[in-house]
Amino acid sequence: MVADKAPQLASEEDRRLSSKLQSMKFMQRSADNAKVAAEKKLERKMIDESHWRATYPDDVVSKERPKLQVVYETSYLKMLPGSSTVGSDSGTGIGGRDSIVAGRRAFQSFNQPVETSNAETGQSVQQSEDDEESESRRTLSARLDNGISSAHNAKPQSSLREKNKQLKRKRN
Amino acid sequence: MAETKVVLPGDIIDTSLDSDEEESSVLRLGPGVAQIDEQVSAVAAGVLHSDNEKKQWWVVSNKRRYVPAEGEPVVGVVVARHGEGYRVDIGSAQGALLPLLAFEGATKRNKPNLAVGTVVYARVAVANSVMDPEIECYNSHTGKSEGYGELAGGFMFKCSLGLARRLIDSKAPVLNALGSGIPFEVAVGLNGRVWINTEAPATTVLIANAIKNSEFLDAKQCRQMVKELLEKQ
Repeated sequence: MVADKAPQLASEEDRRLSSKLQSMKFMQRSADNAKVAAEKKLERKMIDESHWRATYPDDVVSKERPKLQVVYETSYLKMLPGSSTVGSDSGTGIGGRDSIVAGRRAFQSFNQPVETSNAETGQSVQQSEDDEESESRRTLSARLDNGISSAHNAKPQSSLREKNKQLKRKRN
Repeated sequence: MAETKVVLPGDIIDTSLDSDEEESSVLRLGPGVAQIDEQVSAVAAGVLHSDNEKKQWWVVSNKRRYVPAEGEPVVGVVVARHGEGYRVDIGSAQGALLPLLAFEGATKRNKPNLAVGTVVYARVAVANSVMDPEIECYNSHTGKSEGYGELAGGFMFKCSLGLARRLIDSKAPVLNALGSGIPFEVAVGLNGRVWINTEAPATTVLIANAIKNSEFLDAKQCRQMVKELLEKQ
């Protein structure tokens, strides 16, 4: 048997052949190959059947929005004080309604050169806050222009002319 | 309603609004407050504050350890100079970076030259828990120096963070009282450092002592203390 079609296995036809023929090595080889192929096919079928996909019921993922939506703010400067109901003192937030944040200051004309530029920024900040005009604001603007003594109305033409170099910062 | 509420870490804060139950609006949590498991709890010990509409909550506490936050003015000391900038000590866990060009009007050809040990007044530009903080000696949003920059001469001392927050207010009674009697300049950093500059060392010591002693005094006591100090001078 020279022309041996090995892939086309004849395992069923083996029974019709004689036992002596079946015991020959080339017949054994093809029988083994057929057995291995059949086992592999069975194994693949078993693996495919063992895979499963999770099936979710419709209401497991909640359609409601989370009850709490939170944004964090790390700086005290951004905490606008207002009039807090918890806590009676009004000096809680920095740079509140009546005061501004002044990081760098000079008194009695100790440091003049930066003062003019800061006075300009102070006036621009004042203009942006003009819509909320109040008594405290008027005193504050008077203080920025002429020094602390004028805001206190102690001595309008005081010999101690205060020149504040202030760091203006918008409240927001 | 007008009582002060002192909270400890772990206290749950009731943030529900009485008027509307349906509206789930965004809550802004400031320092000292965090969301833990669907509830808002205090993380720091101090006095609890909120704004009018109860949308913002924060705890005012006093510590000495500074955690940098963006936009805050700080006083720092240059400790090293790298190729791209300076390493500045602002009291945070990691030293802050100050780029060479983070000054008003700085270009590649026109850069300031700060020596190690220089005191600078800067603004925190970048601050989060994963990166080194970065500071800048001008306001990058407006482009102006706004008082930031090198602080020449003078004397720097440390104070608590709560006192620094009170001093940075333009209405701080101790500074205003001192200013009406002594010419000086001051730079307050929210990292708990204050820099003052006066003409004579004696006045520097006087102002430093006055500021440190004013931590637990109210406005009237501050003015009284300053008055007595100036009289003794």
